[in-house]
Amino acid sequence: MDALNNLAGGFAHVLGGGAVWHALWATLIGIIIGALPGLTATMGVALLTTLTFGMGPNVAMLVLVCVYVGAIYGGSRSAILLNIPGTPASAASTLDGFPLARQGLAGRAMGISTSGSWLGTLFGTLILALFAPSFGEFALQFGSYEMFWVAMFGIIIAGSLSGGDPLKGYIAGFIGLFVATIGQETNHAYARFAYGNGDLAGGLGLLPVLVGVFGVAEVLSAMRGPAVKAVSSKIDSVIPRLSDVTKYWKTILRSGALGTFIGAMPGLGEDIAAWTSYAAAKRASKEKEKFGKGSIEGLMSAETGESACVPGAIIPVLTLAVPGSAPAAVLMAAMMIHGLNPGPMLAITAPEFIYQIVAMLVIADMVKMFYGLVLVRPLLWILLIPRERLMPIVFVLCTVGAFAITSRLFDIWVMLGAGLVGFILRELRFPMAPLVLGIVLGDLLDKNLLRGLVLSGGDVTPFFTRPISMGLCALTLIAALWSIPSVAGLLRRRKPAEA
Amino acid sequence: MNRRSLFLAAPAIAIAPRARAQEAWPTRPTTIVVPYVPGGPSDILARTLAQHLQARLGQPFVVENRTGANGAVAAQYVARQAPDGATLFVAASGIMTINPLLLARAGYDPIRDFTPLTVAISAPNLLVVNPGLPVTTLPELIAWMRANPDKASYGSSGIGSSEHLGMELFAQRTDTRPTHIPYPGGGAAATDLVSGTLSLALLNMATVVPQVQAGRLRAIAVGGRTRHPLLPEVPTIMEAGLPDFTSGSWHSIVAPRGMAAPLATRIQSEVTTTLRLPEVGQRLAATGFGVEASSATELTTTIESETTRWRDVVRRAGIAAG
Amino acid sequence: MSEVEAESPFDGEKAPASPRADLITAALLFVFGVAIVQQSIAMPRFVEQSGTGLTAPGIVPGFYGVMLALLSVVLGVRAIGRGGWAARGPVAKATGDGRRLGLAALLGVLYAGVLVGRVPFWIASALFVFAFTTAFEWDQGPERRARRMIEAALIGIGTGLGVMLVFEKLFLLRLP
Repeated sequence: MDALNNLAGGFAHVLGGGAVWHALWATLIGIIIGALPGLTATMGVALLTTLTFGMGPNVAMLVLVCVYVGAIYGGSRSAILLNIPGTPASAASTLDGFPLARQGLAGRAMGISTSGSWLGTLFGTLILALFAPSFGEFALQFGSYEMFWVAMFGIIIAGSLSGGDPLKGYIAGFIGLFVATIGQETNHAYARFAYGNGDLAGGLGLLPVLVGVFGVAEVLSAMRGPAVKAVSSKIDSVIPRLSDVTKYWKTILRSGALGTFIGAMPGLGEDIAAWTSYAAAKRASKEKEKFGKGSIEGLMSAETGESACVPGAIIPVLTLAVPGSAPAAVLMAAMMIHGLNPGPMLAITAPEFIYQIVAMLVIADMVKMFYGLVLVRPLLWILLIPRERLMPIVFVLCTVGAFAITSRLFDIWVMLGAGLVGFILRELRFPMAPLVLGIVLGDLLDKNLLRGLVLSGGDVTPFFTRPISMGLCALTLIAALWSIPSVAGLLRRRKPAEA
Repeated sequence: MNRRSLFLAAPAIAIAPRARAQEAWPTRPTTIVVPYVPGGPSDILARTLAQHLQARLGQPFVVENRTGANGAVAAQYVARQAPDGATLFVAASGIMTINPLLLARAGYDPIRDFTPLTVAISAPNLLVVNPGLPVTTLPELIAWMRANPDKASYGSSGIGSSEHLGMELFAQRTDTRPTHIPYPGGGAAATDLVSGTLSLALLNMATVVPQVQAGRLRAIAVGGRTRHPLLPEVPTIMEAGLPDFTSGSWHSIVAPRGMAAPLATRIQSEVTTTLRLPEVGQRLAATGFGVEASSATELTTTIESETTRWRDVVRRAGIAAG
Repeated sequence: MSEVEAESPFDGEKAPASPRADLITAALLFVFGVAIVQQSIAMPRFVEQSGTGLTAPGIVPGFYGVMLALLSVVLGVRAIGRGGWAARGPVAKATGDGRRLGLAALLGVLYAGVLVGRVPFWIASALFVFAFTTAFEWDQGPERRARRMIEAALIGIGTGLGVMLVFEKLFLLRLP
């Protein structure tokens, strides 16, 4: 009852003074930032932080939470409609969202995304309200050794995400892993594969590569074929269906739990939450063959996972002053600027603040749902624009997006190069999802392996003997063994008569 | 109008137009270049200054984040601009002192390529340990590090950060051999220190104060010249037994080289006046940094003395970076 | 609707790459993998600093290089098994496709690789959108072409100015 009273107090505190109005505009800006390729949730929260300098801490936090929640959701709009993830978090949503849109089900796909995302954030917020302290403590147990295994596990399952040819999935994954090694490594700051070039020493950013292999390559593929009529979407399908939710409640719960947990772990963000939820859903699904071709379950899992990650990432901010993801790190900085000292002292100095954050997350989630319903129809108009007119605009936006984060022309060239190479690889049937995942995980794996080795003085045993490490290692081995039948199947597949 | 003009109202009004004409701020929008992504202390400093200067001077100020190569990209860019006041640069201590020592080709010279204006803000680093360590004072810590050379490892926010070089200097001064573990940021290092993966670190105040207040980290000493108001009971490293040892970081404001002295003076005074406003100080304090608003000469002296000190540390520790 | 069957990167099974293309890709990837390994071995090892040499920067990328080389061998063997040596590769697709693709790629490279950074961003973008739209709508026949070109120009200018306003004024970002 006490918790309920606190929560009611939190809502009462947050709602008021035009809070609804602020939530409305901030969430919309978040959705727009998220939907624009290249502009990420991190960027959105950072830019709005400076705009909220003059506001009271209460309103400022509400605005930033709304932008964060909105941006993660918005990224999937472009993923579903254009096959271009608006933020790295939405890359997994392209896998099934875009095929659904291709089948004339864009409205339904966005409905699934809306309901999945709404439930995901709600689920994560519930965990935040109930278990924040213990969740944060557990996340703290994940050090370099454990993160290494998390990355290894991700790599083992990455090949299976391809949908098509697992061999090409693994090759694409290793190309991604290699790309992640370019630039200065963590221990000696030695610039690998840079050849004295200062830009390369900084590494290839995930974002320009992502915008290239999805955005630029998509523009090229779209323009290649002869003109096609736009796929009109059924109008009756824009309202999220209750049956989509009830049918996949297990997937939603699993993705919600995974997303929240990954969010709570420092260093893992929305992108990995979405990928993991997707891979777990695929493994558990009775309709594995539909994944990658427009599976409702697949899209639902990715959306729920990435959205549950948002409250998850805020958990360690509140309990440990340790951000769970990149946007959460900026959010934490904003909290400090506004004098709300997040961290372990919060439970003593301002316990009500946790409930206010819960209230803000719930409000942001409701507003997101509102836009999810209202924006479907206007967004579907995008599909009616002839590609001759839509694609150049998309290309311009991709260019801006690649440039926006670091303001370097180098990133535009990276985008262009990644786009051309990505297009060729796509033509050769190499899937792009493992490549992008490889870049994300490669950074994690490389840094944590090298750091772990320095921490242990060159001893590899902690990677196997620390309790959580041991469990993760076992999990990785099981996943690796599990995938061997598919390796066998892939060698067998050469037999079928093929003209 | 500032306080002086209230005091000497009549002459000030008479003189003002000519003073403006001589030291006129360029009419083009002024760009404040930030070498890091939005959200960090240098970005907040730039945007706070932009907001207030825009209101004071009635002309637009734009903040530009040019990231890459630890700030060298931004520094090279600013070095190429005209010294007409249309470009200012938030130069962090690492960019002005450590980078040129570590990078084979930094592509700029902190002294030659810029007109110094002011050390805007600074923050000390705090020497913290995991509370599991059986030490509470600096001499105890040094003794422990000597007795446990295998266990003593420290984290930093990256190779060549003030947290890394500060600890190297500490090791050289105390004849200890802690292992350096670089992290992508101070926060990640603090996390591993809390969980006990690391044993100690010399980290930026703002990063660790919440953990210290909650008892998850133990503060041994602070790297400033004086004790810090947030942790008044924690002695400085100098008080605790290492004479003349300071460690911290700062952010300065500089312009491209060759700026005319009257313009430089005008900008310096506008910037420092803004920095001394109470609401500006409060906002910057939240990032863990205190306002310095020093003179241009002090900035030059700081750059020169720190460069000399770090050059020695880097050489003795054999640190190199691509 | 037939568009359901339209080409998408995710229905790779429908039209697998030809064994010959796979074989050539495998050969290139093998060279790439070996080159990575060679470059990784050539990296400094930092044995003195770390004591063990286990943290040498080349180990991780070297491993990736080995894996790429191995996987490319598997790909190559599989392609040969499927008839990759046979000279009868698939006939190149309709030339219209290649031309459209080349045009899109060329315009993209001209815009992002050359114009952006040299010309004010909004002008570069307006030119690009105009050229792209006009070029691809050229085939729709001469009737109403002038009208289409005017529309394209308006869309181009609208995009350029719109992007500039939204990004520079609303989001306070810098454009190239």
